[in-house]
Amino acid sequence: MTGPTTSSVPRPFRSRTLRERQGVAAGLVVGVLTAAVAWAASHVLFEVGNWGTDRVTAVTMVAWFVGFNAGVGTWNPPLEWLLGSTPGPDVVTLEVGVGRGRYRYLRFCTDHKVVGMQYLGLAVVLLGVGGVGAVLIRTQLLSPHSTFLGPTAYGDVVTLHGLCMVIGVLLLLIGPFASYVLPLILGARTVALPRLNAMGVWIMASAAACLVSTVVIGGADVGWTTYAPLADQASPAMTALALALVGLVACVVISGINTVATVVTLRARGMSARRMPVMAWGAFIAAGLAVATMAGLLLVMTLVLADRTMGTTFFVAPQGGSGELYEIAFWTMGQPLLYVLLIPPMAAVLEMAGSFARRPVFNARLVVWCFVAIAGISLLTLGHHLYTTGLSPALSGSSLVLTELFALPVGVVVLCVLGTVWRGSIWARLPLYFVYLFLWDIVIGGLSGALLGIPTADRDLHGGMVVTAHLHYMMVGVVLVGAAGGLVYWFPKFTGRMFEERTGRVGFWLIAVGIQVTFLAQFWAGAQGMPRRVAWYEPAFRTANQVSTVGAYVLTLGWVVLLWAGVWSARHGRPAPADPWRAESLEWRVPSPPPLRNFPVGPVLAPVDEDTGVDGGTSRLGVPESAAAATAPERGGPV
Amino acid sequence: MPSEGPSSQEVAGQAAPVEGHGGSWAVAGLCGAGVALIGTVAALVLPGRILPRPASDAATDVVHTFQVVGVLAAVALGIVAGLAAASLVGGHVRSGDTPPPDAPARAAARSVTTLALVACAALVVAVVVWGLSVLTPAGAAGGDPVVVRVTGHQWVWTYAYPGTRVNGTSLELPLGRPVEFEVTSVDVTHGFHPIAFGTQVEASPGVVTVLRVTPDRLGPVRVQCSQLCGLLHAAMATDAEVVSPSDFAHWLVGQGTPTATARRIAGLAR
Repeated sequence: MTGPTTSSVPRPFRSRTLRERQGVAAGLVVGVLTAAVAWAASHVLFEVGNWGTDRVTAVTMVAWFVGFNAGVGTWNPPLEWLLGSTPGPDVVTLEVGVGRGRYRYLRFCTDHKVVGMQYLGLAVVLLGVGGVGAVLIRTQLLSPHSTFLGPTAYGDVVTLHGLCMVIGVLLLLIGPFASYVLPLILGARTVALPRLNAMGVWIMASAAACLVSTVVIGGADVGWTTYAPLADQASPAMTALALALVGLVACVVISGINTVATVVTLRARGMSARRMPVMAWGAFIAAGLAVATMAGLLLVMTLVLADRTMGTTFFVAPQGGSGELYEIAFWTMGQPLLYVLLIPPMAAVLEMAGSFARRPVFNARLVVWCFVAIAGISLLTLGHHLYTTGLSPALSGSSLVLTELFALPVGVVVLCVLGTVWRGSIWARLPLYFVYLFLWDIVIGGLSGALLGIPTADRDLHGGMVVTAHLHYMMVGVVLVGAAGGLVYWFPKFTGRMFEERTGRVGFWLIAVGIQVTFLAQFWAGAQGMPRRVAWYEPAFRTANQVSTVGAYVLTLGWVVLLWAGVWSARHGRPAPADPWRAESLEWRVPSPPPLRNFPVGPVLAPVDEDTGVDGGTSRLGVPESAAAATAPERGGPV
Repeated sequence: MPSEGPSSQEVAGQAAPVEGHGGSWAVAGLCGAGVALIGTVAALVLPGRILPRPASDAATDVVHTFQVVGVLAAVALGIVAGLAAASLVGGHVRSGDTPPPDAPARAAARSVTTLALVACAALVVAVVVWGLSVLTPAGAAGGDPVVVRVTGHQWVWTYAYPGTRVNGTSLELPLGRPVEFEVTSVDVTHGFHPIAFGTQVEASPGVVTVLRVTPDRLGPVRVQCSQLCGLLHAAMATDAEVVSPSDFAHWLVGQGTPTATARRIAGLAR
């Protein structure tokens, strides 16, 4: 994952400054100590029981969050800003990770490539936890009245599986895509807000620890949507979970602002909006959508925390609260969030289709407009999550129209992927496999969504396994498959080594078959009438569930094989050249992995010939490729 | 890759299919037609066999909706799978370390763009027209409705019939007469879902939501909670029964009597 790195430059012995000592180890020590002190102190302050336990949990978790980040150094930039001091060159050098070797991955590091890999590590951990959850869930559902987990543990695992997967995928997009690859695609030498970018990953790391800790401190049987008033009622683990989601909001908004700012301010000269690659557009639009909507999650989590720790009654009906309030507020964020997750993998798939069909993306400008349309429609379609609430049935018709409207831009994007590979020169390398799997899955996932968008159908299927099957086709079959393809595609850039494709293909086929078996069987169970999120079910659904469970094992094996192939290749793969795919965009004009400042000088795109319309593109950069290679240091060196 | 226009070697508009560049319409047509055909047959046959036997108009509409969207999906899958498969067939596919020669860049002809937009718009219109046609207006129930007050508790449903002494955990409904469920909850949000009726409504604390349905088939109907409500969510179900109007009248009178209570206890013991 981190790739080969040269050992750190030997330094003369001297005492280390406080700032040099900051890192994950210091973060863990300070975080645990602060949390322990806060735990003890809050036990004295609050009576344990009812709200007291929640207050103790909240204070402890906040202390962990503050302490861990203090130990890592996350608060240095805002503190300096408050004190009015400007970091000197030694601080900048330290923070960017010069001479730190691979330890810079365990520190507060402003290098956008390091941050990207830190996010990747965090995402793999969360997806791993979520994956273990998936296996446990499917094992429980092997028989109708299984006692494998029991209802308490089952409910906790369902919640953790959902949240870990959604957040893990989000981090996969924020890190390797938005933080690592995007600046390279734009021809930028860094990101617009490197210190803010670095803060995001450590805030998320502490929030992720908070999230996973819910297994230990009681578990919350609420599902990933954490609907209140159920969330008001859950164990104190829910307080930790809500705080983790507040941390997530901070992380997403921080990195979203950084992504938008980077695209706006740091594009290579000559890269006008029209010439911006599809991937950059996808990241830009998704980041903008995330920044605009994540406040909804902050709102509902704040209200849940207030209900749980301060005795407010926002969601308690007898005291004037309302559960419907939660549902509406949650989906103002939840619905756009699903498209924040969808757009970047779509863009990555288009880039891969172009590279492996040996031609530019077909109708790229239309694709960008489709992304804009998808983002726009997503702001208006929370209604289809609320068909069964009994709220405003008069709006069912307009919600139906708006929801089905998604098929237009999504369908056009699919056709543009097809238009790119159709009669192209197909270079059948591993990333291209994921493009074709994406195409198959998005039709099934998308049109099952069209079915659920019809109020008459949704009023039957809401809360059932058809919804589960649909969302997993989209989340696994489309989003994760697209993202995994992108990771394989940019793997040589990340690691400086080629991905071992033979093992990778084994993983791919297990994944491709596993997705169809697992989730088609869930459509089957759902059509039979099986509700979702249940630990037991009627014997009539047994066969469908057993098929789905077998599929899930195959799918899990596929991901493990693919991950193994990645880990093996990062260590032993063939060294990769700067441009292994003979692709045209700017990230392939720098060595693999790129040096600290990416480009020796900011690249300039050759202009478009006004007479012929020929785009000079990146093949004739302002900086000749040889110059870039000549000035670059040893492959993998931090400077 | 710059988003717009062709690569450096090619000029926009000169895109002619190159010899040996695969993508034969014959393969696309055969493969696509095969997938679409299998999908269409499956979409028409399976919903009627897999979905619970409908016990109301709404449930019948759901079966038909499955079939309509299923056929549309089969056609879309056929088009995508056909084009995708055809793009992979032919001597132009290469898998080694060196890439094949660049394909000619193709500027998107206006006609192709229009076709793509029209095809997707047609899909949208088809789904919307069907969806609106089966959208039942939220009007008052016709006739003389049976009113049932449904209350969700963690983790049991209770049913009260206003005007009678019946208030318990069993639910029976007369055939052919409109039913108006007035649904609420005393704790968290539940989902009141009589599965064979093909419709549901949320049971939200502090709110009364209404679900109207006219049972049109005798026999059992399973009511299942459809909104995660905590520990025993999976077990929050009622085995309801649609009976003839005369049996229903008998049942209403019989409920609450010692015999009925004894029968229930006997049932629990079993």
